[in-house]
Amino acid sequence: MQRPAESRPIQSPAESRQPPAASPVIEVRGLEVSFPSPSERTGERVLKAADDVSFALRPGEVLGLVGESGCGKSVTALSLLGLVPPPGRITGGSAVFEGADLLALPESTLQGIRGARISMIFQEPMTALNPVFTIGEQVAEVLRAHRRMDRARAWRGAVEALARVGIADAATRARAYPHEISGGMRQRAMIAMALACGPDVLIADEPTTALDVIVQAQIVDLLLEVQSATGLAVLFISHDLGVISEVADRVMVMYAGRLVEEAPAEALFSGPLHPYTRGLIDTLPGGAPGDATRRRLPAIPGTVPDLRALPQGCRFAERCPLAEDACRAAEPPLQEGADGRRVACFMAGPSFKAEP
Amino acid sequence: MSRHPTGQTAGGQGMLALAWMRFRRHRLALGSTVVLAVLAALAVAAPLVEAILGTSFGEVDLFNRFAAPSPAHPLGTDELGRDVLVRLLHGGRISLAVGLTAAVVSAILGTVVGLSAGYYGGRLDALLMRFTDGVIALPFLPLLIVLAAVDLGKLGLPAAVVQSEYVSLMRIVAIVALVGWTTVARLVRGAALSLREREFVLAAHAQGAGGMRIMAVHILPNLVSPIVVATTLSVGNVILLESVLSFLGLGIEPAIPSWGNLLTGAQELIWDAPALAFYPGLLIFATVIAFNFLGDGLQDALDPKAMEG
Repeated sequence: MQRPAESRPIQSPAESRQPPAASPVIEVRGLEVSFPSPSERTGERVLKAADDVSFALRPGEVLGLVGESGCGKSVTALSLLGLVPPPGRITGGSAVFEGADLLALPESTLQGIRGARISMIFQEPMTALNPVFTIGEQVAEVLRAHRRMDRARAWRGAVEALARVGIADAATRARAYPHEISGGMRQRAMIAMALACGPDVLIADEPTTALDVIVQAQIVDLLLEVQSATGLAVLFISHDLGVISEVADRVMVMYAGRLVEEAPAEALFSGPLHPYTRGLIDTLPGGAPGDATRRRLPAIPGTVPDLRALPQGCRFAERCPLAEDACRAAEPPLQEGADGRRVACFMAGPSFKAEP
Repeated sequence: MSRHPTGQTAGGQGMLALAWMRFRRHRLALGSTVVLAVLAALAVAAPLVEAILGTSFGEVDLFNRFAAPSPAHPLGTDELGRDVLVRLLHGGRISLAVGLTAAVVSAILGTVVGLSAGYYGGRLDALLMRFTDGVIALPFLPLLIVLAAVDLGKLGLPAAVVQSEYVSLMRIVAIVALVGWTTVARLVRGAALSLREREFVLAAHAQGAGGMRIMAVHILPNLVSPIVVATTLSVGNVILLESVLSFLGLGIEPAIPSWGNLLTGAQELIWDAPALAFYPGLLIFATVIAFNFLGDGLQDALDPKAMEG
């Protein structure tokens, strides 16, 4: 998806902000989410939508998570809230939030956390909003559920929340039904709902994907504004590298259920270590910053492997221009390198960086 | 999904106004509403009519049997010299009350069963739906006859309840509700199955709502239209059913007039006094038809797809 204008160069907003180094708000270790799979051919019983996913979300940062459809981004996010859709199950790992493991908490405790401490916004605000209630009622409902506010106070709170996300004339707009307002305004209403209780963490699952580019830019600006005003930690999921480069302080790249690379945004876009990341960045129109030459857009050959029948060794090997026998023999571990970068590739090294 | 011109609805003038706009275009439904409103008003006003005419629905006057219509008896009198108009109006009170109550009670039962089955799914769904299938498969009329013949005194109910003259009324409501909830249960279950997969339910979960809250606050309001339509349509059926049961002598006890037992009482006199059968028959016919048109009109007016279009 193309970014709106050249006036928004890739990565500049992220560059300007300092990545904070405090202890993480959420620390995920070895997360594994499995779905039963009736595959006669392979005899495989389960597929792992997320496999050994570990990362830390620090307070006040925007952590980007990129990958193509079906790579496990959304499942990873949903598992933090205990919302993995059945028949999927969390089959391993931990996600520590304020000393408690989110993956092991009882449903009743999770209900108090969802929406109040950890909020989530979704891709398509038309379907994520209930069609039979006005947006004001829906924001008020969150306040009533978590803050036990009475109707009148919750309504005032809802109007304030809508005003905070830049909805003009919020008192009137609060009485509108989702189908009566524009897509951008619906997403603002979703954000108002998510932020109404002042959460510590916001999980944004492709929040700009369903919007046109102009509105995308507005929503991204709004999220960044809110984030810097409240010190919220954001896990920002997208398949759009352009959007990620604008919002994220750090970026994680996911492929076929595993994290393959993690790096500060600037470093990732200027010098990707994993060939998959490199391939993704090459597919951006305009390519890397400064590369203004006109060219045919490259594509990564092949398709994502079937999660039910993963090849031995590196999951990306079949599509990788650098794959060697070693890659097909064993799966490369996610190794931590200097300056906080992590990469899962045997070929990642000085020699790889020199490749065109 | 085009949007409505904002001038019409922004500021929350709302869905009801839109539904009313569509409903008004449905002439038969509008006419039916008027008919039903008049019938209901007359039924409510039955004691007033009694007072004006100086009679009551049980007052027997054996010297004035089968009287022709007159100022004192606008529709004449029956085989015991009772005022036909007053008995019809009282019958309307009973028939409409039984119809509405039974329809509402079975809608509530059906909604609870259907919503639990559709929302929780899995085993509970299978269990509840097989049970529903079972109830649907029961032969209806023999069951009704058995249920209507149960001696409540032997069930251990207090004597005051058993001997109350309205016990036959409550019995009918209970019988109809016990077998009538299946339609709504299936309807609600189907709709709940699709609604629970909608993203706003996931969003509600992500905002910390629990299962009960999601069912009550997020799913149920989306089901109001189909439930209202199904309930309206079933009122007519219940009134018909009541007359069938009363006709078989299993319904409302003859001491209390209902349209059904007025018809029953008239059957042996059909050649002597056809009007006695004609009036309650006509009222049942008109009411059932009117509820059906009303249901159709509501369906068109409340259809959520029409709402977004």
